[in-house]
Amino acid sequence: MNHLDLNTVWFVLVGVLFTGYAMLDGFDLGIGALHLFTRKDEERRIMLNSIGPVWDGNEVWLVTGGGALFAAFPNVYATVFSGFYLAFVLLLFALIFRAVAIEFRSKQPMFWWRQMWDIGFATGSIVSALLIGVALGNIAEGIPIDANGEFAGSFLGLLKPYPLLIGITTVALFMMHGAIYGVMKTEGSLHDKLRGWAMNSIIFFVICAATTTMVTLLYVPHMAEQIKSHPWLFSIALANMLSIANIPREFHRGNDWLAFLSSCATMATLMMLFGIDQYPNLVFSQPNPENSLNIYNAASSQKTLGIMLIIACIGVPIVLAYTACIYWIFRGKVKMDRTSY
Amino acid sequence: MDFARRSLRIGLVVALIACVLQAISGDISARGVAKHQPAKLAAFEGLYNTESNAPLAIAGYVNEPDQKVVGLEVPGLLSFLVYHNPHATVEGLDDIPPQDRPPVESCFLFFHGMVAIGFTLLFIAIFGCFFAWRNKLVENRWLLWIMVFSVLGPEIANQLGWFAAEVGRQPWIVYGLLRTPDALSKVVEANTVLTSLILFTFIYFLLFAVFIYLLNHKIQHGPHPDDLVPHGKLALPKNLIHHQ
Repeated sequence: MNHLDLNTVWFVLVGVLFTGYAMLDGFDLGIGALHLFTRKDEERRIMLNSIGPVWDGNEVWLVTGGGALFAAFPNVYATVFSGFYLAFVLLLFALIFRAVAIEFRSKQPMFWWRQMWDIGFATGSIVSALLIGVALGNIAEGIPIDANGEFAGSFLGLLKPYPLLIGITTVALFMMHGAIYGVMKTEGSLHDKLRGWAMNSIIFFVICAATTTMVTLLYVPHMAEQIKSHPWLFSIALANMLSIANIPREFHRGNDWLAFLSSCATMATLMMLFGIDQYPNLVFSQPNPENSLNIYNAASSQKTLGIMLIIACIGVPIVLAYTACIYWIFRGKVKMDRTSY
Repeated sequence: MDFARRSLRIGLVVALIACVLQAISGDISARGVAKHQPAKLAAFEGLYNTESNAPLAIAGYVNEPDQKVVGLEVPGLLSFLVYHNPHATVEGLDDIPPQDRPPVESCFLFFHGMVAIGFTLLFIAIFGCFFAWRNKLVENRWLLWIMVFSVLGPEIANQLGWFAAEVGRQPWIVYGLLRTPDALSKVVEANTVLTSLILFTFIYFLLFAVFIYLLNHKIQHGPHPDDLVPHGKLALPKNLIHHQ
């Protein structure tokens, strides 16, 4: 990281957008993953309505992240979206089914109807989280890229142990994030249940995170090289560990909001570690590192990046403002009425 | 019943306004196509020869081997619509190199199908508004039945218009810059694309069936009684409503 040019700024911005996506959509995917743990119709409805007003706004961050990638680094977009075609189609179906399930589930009273959409919602949420993690894991470990910058692997080749581990870790992270969010939004017996699930998912996540760290250091050593050569960057790894440790600490004290913020900080520091070790590569090529796509050989023209930066400076504050508005309007515990999901 | 009658009146007025605006928007778009993608407009109208007084086909089909349109045509109307002058020259397909021409027959049918549906909807809205004004809507059950199925009209017109726009741009994916075969992903195989296409079609049919089922259910049940009483910040106080 020698100097701050437009390419680096966009590398950071794409990272910020995906981090925002993880923090926001992470908890509603997590709520989805926990959905089938309760069998009571009323409780399932409360869980749905806790994310009801915000989940689609949260998914906008995925769209803007993908859009920014397309405009700023079109070669990466082309390689990844062509190479991961089937995986991304599956992700799209998972996202479609969970979205449709939220809308349709409570429109009919029949048990089979609601059960069908509930399963769709939970499966769609878990599969989405898993596939996002698997994609991230593949990018971290490196994927085969030929001299023309095209993906040279297969769909089944993406389901290697390391990406699958990252996928499961992502599911655990989102479940924990969603359970803490659920605790903040509910009261009564569901609140107590969610408290228990949050505790279990914190344990689940800590085990996954520890395993991922060990496996990464042992089998994907290139993910630690930047930190090795710049020891001060270890502070981010330390910050990551501290924020993970702070989640159960605040949660036990009943500071659910601080526990949620610690969970957000965990995601931010994880993404920073990921970004630092990728930089300046966007897609690491394994086994031929010289074919890697980086922020220079995969970028749009300087003019495009400059214009996009102006648009981002106008657009991002607007998105942040309306997001803050929505969360403020729907603050507090979920209240059900006739128009609820 | 009173609720349905009032809703239908509002719906018909909105439909009439929307249909007129739609025609205006269509006119503006078509002139944009004439300016930026002349080959597409020529294919829409089956215009093989560049000519002044270019005719507009109201209904018909394209005889591709003989390169002519068979059907009802109004001379000069296409020139008038595009350039506001019935004698203006409109570029035909003969000005476009053969390898850069879109398939004419299908473009013509998609485009005219869309326009025909648009005008049918406009006439339904006009008839509907007329009978609603005369308070004779309920007696004309045939018109009500047409309205039930007219819900599908915009959907079909939308799809046809989309087909026309996409097929009409061929063989380009970016007009004049990038050909469709050159834009294919090199690593995505045809059978993979077919798989996703089948899955998408399946999902769309499934969602369409669920949509129709729920919509029908909602219509059969009518509005919730609580919704018939105005409430919220903008509603008049209850005592005022009773006085009216």
